[in-house]
Amino acid sequence: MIDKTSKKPLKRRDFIRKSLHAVAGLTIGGLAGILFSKSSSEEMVWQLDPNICIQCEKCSVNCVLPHSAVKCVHSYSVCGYCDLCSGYLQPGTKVRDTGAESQLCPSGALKRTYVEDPYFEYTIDEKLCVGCGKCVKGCNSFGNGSLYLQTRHDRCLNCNQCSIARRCPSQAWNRVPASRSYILKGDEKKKFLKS
Amino acid sequence: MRYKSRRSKLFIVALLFLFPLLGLSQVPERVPKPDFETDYIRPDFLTPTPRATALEYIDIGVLIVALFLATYFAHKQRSRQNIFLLMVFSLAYFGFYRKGCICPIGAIQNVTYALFNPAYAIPVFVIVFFVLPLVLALFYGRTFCAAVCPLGAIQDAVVLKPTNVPGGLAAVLSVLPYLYLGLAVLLAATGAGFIICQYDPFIGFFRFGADFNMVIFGLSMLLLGTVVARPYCRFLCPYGVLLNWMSRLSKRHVGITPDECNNCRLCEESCPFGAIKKPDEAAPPANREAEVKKLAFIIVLLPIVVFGSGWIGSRLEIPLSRLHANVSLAEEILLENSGQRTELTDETKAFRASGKPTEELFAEASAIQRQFKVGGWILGGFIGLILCLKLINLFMRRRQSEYYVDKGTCLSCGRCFSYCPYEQVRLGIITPKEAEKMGSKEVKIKQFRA
Amino acid sequence: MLSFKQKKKRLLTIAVIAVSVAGILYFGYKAIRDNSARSQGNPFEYDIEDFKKSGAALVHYTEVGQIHIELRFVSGVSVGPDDRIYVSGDDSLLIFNGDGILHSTISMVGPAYCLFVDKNHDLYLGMDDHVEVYDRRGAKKSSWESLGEEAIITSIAVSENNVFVADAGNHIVWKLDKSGNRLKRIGEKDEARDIPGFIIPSPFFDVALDPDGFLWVANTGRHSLENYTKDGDFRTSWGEFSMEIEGFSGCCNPSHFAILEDGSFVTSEKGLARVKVYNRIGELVSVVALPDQFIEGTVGLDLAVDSSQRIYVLDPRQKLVRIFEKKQL
Repeated sequence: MIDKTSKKPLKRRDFIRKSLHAVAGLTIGGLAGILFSKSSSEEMVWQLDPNICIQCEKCSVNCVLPHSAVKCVHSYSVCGYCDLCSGYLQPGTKVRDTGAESQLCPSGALKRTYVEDPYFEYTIDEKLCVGCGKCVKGCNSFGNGSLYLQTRHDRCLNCNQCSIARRCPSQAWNRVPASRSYILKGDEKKKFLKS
Repeated sequence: MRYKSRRSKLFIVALLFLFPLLGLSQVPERVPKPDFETDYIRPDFLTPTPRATALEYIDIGVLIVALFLATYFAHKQRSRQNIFLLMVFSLAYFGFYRKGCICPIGAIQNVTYALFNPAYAIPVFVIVFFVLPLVLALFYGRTFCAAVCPLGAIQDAVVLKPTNVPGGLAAVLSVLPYLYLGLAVLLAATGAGFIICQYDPFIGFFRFGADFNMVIFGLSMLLLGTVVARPYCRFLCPYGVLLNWMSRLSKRHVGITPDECNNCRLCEESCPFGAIKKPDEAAPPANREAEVKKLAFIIVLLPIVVFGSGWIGSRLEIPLSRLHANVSLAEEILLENSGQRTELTDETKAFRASGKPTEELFAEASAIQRQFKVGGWILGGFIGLILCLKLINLFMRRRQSEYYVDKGTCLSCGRCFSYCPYEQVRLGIITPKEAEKMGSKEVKIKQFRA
Repeated sequence: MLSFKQKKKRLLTIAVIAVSVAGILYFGYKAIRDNSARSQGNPFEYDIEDFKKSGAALVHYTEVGQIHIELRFVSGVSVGPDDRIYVSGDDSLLIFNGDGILHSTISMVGPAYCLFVDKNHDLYLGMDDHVEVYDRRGAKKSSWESLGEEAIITSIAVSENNVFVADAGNHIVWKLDKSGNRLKRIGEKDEARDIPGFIIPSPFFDVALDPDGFLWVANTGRHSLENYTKDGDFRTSWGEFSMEIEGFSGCCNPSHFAILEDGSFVTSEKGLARVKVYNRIGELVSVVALPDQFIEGTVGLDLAVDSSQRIYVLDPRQKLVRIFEKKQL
C-alpha cells in the first residue's frame, strides 16, 4: 500500500507509486505469460462421458435451459435393431408394439420403425427428448448401450460452470476441447474423431 | 476426519487425471452388425458443433472496442450520456446476447484453475477477458466497470434513489469482496467448483432462466440496487478487488473537474458509490501523538492478527473441503462402510459401481483436505492482512485540501462530471467568472442541469 | 427537523433496504443449502427391482468359493479334464488348480474372448477373429486363419474331431476340423431346412456340446437354445422370453450356457444377472444365483462346470470366478 504518512516531499511518494505501478504491470504481464503458455486456442465445452454416466436423470432437471441441452443420442452402429428393445419397451410388457402403455420413454421421443424381419430401427426426436436417461438405462442393462446421453452443442449455452456438471453424482462431466465436443461410441466415434 | 495414506501427492494427482480416461470398464467394443437383407442404410449421426471459435475472437474484438470507447468517453469526452449508451450496448451484447459467459469475474476461477491443474488448457480468449480490463485499469482506472461489465450495467440501470451507505458500515462491507475472492480462488484451485458463476445473481436474467432461489436472490439484489447503488459491484464483486488495486496505481484517472477544484461542494452528493472524498482538515497536533501510538500498536498487532485469522482459516479445512465432490463422497462412503448410514445415495452408488478402490478415493480426499488446510491458512492470513490494512487506513490522514475521487472505488461512470462548475465552463454553458462564484456561494445544483 | 415528505422518503428507503437485504440473505442461504443438498430419488427410474427377486424360492445352490483374477478385464472361463480352471482376460490366460491357487500364466498377443480346453489338454482360444491353439505348457501350436473381417468370435466347443466356433459377427457357427480347415457354416437362415437363423444383437453367442454329441447354440435374439446335429441339421429348440424367472429376459439372452453331465443346462443372463439350471427338456429346475448377488451392471457371466458338477461363474465386474455347489438337502 502507499505510504500516505510520508512527510517528505511528494517525490518519494511518486517514486513508490511508480514502482508499485511497474510491479503491478509486471505481475499481470507475468501471469498472462504463464497462462498463455498453458493455453489452447480452442474453446472448452462441457460433455458427459457415457461410459461413466449412471442415468440418474439429473441432466434433465439441472440444466439452466428450460429444456435441457442433454439429449439421448443413438449410435446406430452399436444398436442390435432388436424387436424386443429394452430401451423402448416397458420392462414387464408382454406385447411388442408402439402403444403408449408399452413405451418406456415418458415423453414418447423414442420412435420405432420396422426395417425387415426381425429388425426395427429406433430414432430419437430431440424436440421431445427430456434427457432423463430412462431408455439409456434400459438399453444399457440388457442391450449394447447404443442409446446414451450427450450434450447437444446446438442447444448448450456452454456456461463457464455447467450447472449439471456440479450436481453429477458420478462425476461424468468434463470440459473437452471444442473440436472433440462429443464422446461417442462405435463407428460414430471413429467417424467423429477422424473428421 | 482423516484418511491414512502414504501415497505421494504426485501419484494421486496423476490418478485423478487418469481415472476419467480409464472409464468404467476396459472391455473392448465388439458389436455384431445385423445381417440386413434389404438395402437398409443407417441414418446419419448428427453432431451439431458448438459455437465457432472464430466468434470468440469477435467477442475479444467487441471487448477491446468497448474498453477503448469507455475510456475515451470517460477521459476525453467526459460524457456520461455516451458512457450510458455504451453500457446499454454492453448489457445487450455481453449480457443478453452472450448470456453472461465468459466474463472477467468468472474468469478469475478459470485462471486459478489453469494455474493449479496442469490438465486444464485455458482458452486464449478467457485469458484476454481476464487480463485486458486489469491492464486498462492500471492505466486509466475502472472504465470497464463503468460501461463494459454486463453485471455492472444491469445494476447501474436500476439506480433510482441512491442513498449513502454510512462510512463505518461501508468499511465493514468492503471486506466481503476480499473474502469472496479468497474463497473463490481457494475453491477453484482445489477443483471444488466455480462459486462465482454458481452464485452469480444476474446471470439468470441474461439467460431468461435460473433456479427459483437464484431468481429471487437476483431480484432482491436489483431491488436493493435501486436505493444502494450497485450493491454487487461494491460489496461482493471479487474482480472489483483486483480492479481496485490496479486503479489505485493508475497513471491517469478521471477527475471530477476537468480543471481545478474550488471546493464548491456541488459534487459532494453526486456519487452514488461514495467514491468522492471530502477535503480533510489536518488533525490537531494534540491528538496526533496519540494517533501515531495507535497506529504503531496496530502495526505491531498485524502479524498476530494475520497469524490468528490464518489459524481460523485452517480450522475451516473440514467444512470447506466438503464442498469438493470427492471429499463429500469419501465421507459418505465412510459412513456407509461403518454402518452409520444404510441408504445409498446416487453418488455412492455410482462410486461403488465404478469399481474404483475405496483406498484410492480416501487418498484423494485426504490430499484435497491437505490442500484445503494450506489454502485455509493462506485465505485466513489474507483476510487478516486486509482487515489490518483497512484499520491502518482509518488512522491515515491524508492532507487533502480539495474534493477528490477515491481511485480504488471510483467506477469512472461520469455521473459527477456535470456537477462541477468548471465542467460547465468547459462545455461552454457558463463563464469562468460565474464558475468562480459557485465556490463561494451555495447554489442549487438544479440550476446547472439542462 | 425532517419534513413529513422527507420522513416518508427515508422510511420507504429503509423498507426497500430491509426487504431486499432479507431477500438476499434468505434466498442466498436457500440457494447455498439446496446446492449442498443430496439427491432425492429419480422419478424416471428404470425399475426392474421386482423382477430381480423373482425365483428366490428356487435357489438350490450356494456359493462355496471365489477366485480373484488380477486382470483389468476378464472374458472367459473353462474347466479342463483335470478340473483345472482356465481364465482368459487382458493379453493372458491364467491357469488355477482345483483349490483356486494360480498355477501358471500364458501370454498371448491380444486378448482372448473365449476358450475351451479339450480332453488332450489343448487350449483353444477365440481371439477377435481367429482361433489359436496352445498346448498345456503354454506353447503355441498353431494360429488359424481369420474367419473374416466381420468375425466376432464369442465361443468355442471342441469334440473328438471337430471344433465349433460361434461367430456373432457372421451370425453362424463354424464347423472346423482340428487343423483349422473350415468344413461347414451351421445355422444360416434356410427356410427349406427349417433353420430360423441366428439373431445376435450383442457380442454374446454361446455354443456347447451335450453328452450325446449334439450341438447347442444360444439364439439370444429369439431367447432360445437351439439344437443342431454336427452336420448342421436343425433338431429342436426351447426357451421363451420372460422377465420372470422362467424365461430369458431383455433383448438377447441367455448370454452364456453350459451343459451338465446329465444333459441339463446352466444358463446365465445379462441385464437381470441370474444363473439358472434347466433340465434336458427346458424346464426350470433350480436357481444358482439371483441379481442381488452381483453388482448392478454386471454383463456377461461366462459359465463352466467341473467333474463334480460344481458351477463356475465368471464375474467380469468384480473380476472373480465364483464357485457354486448344490445345497445338500
